[in-house]
Amino acid sequence: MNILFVDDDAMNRRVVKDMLGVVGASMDEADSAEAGLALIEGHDYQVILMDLRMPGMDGLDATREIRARRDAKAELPVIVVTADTSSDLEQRCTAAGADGVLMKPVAMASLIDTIGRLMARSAGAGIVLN
Amino acid sequence: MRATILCLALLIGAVPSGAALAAHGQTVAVQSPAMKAFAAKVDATKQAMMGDPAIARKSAEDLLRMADAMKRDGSVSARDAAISSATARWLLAEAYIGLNDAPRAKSLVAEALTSIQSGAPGSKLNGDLLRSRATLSEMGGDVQGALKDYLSAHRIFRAIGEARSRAIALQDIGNLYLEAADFDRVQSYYSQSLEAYSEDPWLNLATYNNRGQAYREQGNFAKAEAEYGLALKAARQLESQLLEARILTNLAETQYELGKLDQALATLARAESLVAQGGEAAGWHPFILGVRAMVEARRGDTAKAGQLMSAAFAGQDLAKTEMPFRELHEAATGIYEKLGERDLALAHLKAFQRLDGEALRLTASVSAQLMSAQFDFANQNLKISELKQGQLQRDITIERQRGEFRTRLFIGLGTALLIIFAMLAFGYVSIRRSRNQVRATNVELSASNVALEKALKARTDFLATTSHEIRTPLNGVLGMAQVLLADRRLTKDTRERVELLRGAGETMKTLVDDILDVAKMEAGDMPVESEEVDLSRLIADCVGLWREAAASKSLALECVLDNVPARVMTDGGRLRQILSNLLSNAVKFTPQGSVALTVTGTTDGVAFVVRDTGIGIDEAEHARIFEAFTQANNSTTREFSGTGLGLAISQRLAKALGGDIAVTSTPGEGSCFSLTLPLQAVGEGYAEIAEASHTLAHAAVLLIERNIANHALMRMLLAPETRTVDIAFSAENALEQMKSAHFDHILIEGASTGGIDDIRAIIAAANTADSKTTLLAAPTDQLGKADMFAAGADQVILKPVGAADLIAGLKALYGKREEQGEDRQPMRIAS
Repeated sequence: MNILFVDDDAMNRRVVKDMLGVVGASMDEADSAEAGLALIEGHDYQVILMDLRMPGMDGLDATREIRARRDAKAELPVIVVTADTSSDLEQRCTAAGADGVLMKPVAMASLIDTIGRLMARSAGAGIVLN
Repeated sequence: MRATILCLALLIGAVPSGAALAAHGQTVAVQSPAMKAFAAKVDATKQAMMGDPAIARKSAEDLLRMADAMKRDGSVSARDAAISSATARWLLAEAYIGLNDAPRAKSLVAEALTSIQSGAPGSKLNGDLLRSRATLSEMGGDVQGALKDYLSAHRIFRAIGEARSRAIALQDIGNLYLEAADFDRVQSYYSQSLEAYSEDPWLNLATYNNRGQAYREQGNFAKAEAEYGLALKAARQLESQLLEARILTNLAETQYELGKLDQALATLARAESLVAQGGEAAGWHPFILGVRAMVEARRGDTAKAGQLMSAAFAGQDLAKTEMPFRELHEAATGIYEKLGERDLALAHLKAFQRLDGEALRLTASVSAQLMSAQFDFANQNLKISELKQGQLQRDITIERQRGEFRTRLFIGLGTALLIIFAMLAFGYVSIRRSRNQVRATNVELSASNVALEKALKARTDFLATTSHEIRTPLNGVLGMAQVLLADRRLTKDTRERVELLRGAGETMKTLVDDILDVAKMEAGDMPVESEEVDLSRLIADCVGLWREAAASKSLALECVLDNVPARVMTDGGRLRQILSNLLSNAVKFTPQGSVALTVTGTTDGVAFVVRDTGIGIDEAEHARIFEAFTQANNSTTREFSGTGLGLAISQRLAKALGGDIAVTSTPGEGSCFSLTLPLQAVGEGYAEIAEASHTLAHAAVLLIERNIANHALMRMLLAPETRTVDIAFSAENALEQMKSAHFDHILIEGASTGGIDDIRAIIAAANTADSKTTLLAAPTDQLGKADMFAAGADQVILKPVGAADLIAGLKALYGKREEQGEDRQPMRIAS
């Protein structure tokens, strides 16, 4: 499973990368929305984790760009990861097309739970247990 | 103008301080002859203070010499020496204030404050000294400094139960806001003053008069009229003709504003009959004439108005009139204009502009200074609820103070002249005001309101930003702690240390969340949602969260549901927050016994009652505990950690959800918090505490699976066959989840744990919670087949296994338990 985390803060990226490493997922990182969008172009990710406040393009605009794509990547699950506490946060994220919101500090269990549930929702059939 | 205002502040201060000082003198006099002589001199000085300040200064200088001598010859204790030194310096300072010599008074007050800090910090004298310093700050135009000292003085008076001094300090603060034209605050502080102490007609007079004035400034003339009526009663009680005449004039002007012109004239006639008796009241006559002129002008008799106005200004130099005449100048301008007396009209207009400019400058400066001091968390302490608590103390002290009051009244009558001079200070403010000024004031007021709202918003924004900034580094601390804890190689010691780190991080996170919640609520930014909520699950989760904490203190934690709808519409997250907070408090404040949550469905909704056998809360504290940053008493804060924000947040949330929280409690026996919410049931059925389920379809399942790539698949596979599916990524995480919620069935993916010991621990926990267990694994080097079957799971399923076989296997575990008997063998399923 490959996940992309877009966040300008290197410490945040390291924390989430290590958390995902515990459950066997690999993570690519981008330090800006622009760099993230470029990575999405060339890679196949299962989930995008997106910070909100970043220099340059912000996370919501990047999410809108993903949703505006004409290929299958327009459907990529996007989870916003933010320390923003404004009360209309969820509303704004949903409006931009995000599938979930995680608050910083990120609880490892919530991170994994959210990704797992999203994957279950978007995954196709064909179940094989190894 | 500054000087006249200060007279009020000073005088109201000087009378009570003297009386209090007498009481103070008596207590120390018992101790030594030197102190006895000193106390007598203090009384003499205090008496002199009411008359000529120059004589008072001489007397106070003698006092200072006595104090210094006592200190030198060591005839008194160090504490008494410090107190007498502070007392002498304070009285001398007050004398200098009377002589308008602020610099000398200032240094004396500073010295006295240093002495009292070592001798009797927090004493009434300390409070009185802070008030003197505030007066001096006010004289020097330092309104912020004055406000700060008045607030500190108020805190001292409240702490030692000096209700009357406290009321005076509240009036001091009210006066500051009066100067700043912040009339809402004027109302608030004067009302608080009255609540703190209402036995003194002098204070009551000031309260009613100034409240009346504030109402007038706000354009609420009907209320102003009522206040002046009360002020009039107080003035009569004091048997002062001048005061009565002045209040009558204020009343008449209010009646004039209300258009009750005949009544206004009748009121003025009463005032005139009082001043006609001569005495000091005679000096008030011009103002009565002036207001009469205004009334006559309104009635259309301009000629008569002109005559009255000329009489009012008879003998006055129009270029040098004082502030009290400001309003009359404005009225005179209009009257003389109508009469065609251009020159006179112009002279009055100039005089008005001169005084008006002065007044506006003052108001603007005071208002600006107070505005910057408005980040006024201290005002929290002055809240009405605390005053109610003060009222209890008041009842007790009233008897004692009645005696004191009689003495004061005697002194008061002897010094009527000074007091009257002081009354002029607020009287002048009361007599002014015309529509123009009301309009100007309104503009100023709305500007202050806008500024205040901005300040409040700035505070919320500041807290939001701070919260954001704290969350980011906290993400690093908590995140890495969690990653470390997921590392199987951690030794026990290291694990405990990292747990501590994580615990501290979690506490900090709660703190940041709470503070932000309060800020949002204060800014009215706390939307609640409405969603379908599974009450059984929510209640079980909330209780589960505190199960371990209760068990570690050997507390019984019970939960009873009665007639509770299974599903309701509400904001589930907020309801969780409230219930968790109530349970958390109950567990925290109960050293032994039990905590019980009883949930009852009623016709109006649902009642959640949390009852404990803990330390309890005094009745007097019941209202306070719902305020922000409050624990029942300060020592509680030290004994039990916490911000004291939880209940404040919970109650506001309860109200936001349409309900409320009430408390009953007996100290030492326990507390009972009742949350009532108007919850509407969705569909049929009643909530119940989950019991062991009899079919897989009713089971809450917890899967332990490290590899996230499998999570989605397992969820999809299990979801249609079970009630709920939760996934833990490690053995630790599973044990944690099992603590806070009940699962009917635990599915352990063997390779996702740290080995056989982890598996045994999970199975042990599952057996305690009466959960079924299935171990799902492929035999490996670390986890051999023998180990797997010996671990004690109800069932072992060997991988690889097809989806249909897995589900069939899980289902097979239901309804079989009894048949398996004591030493059952685990079921084997393998493909």
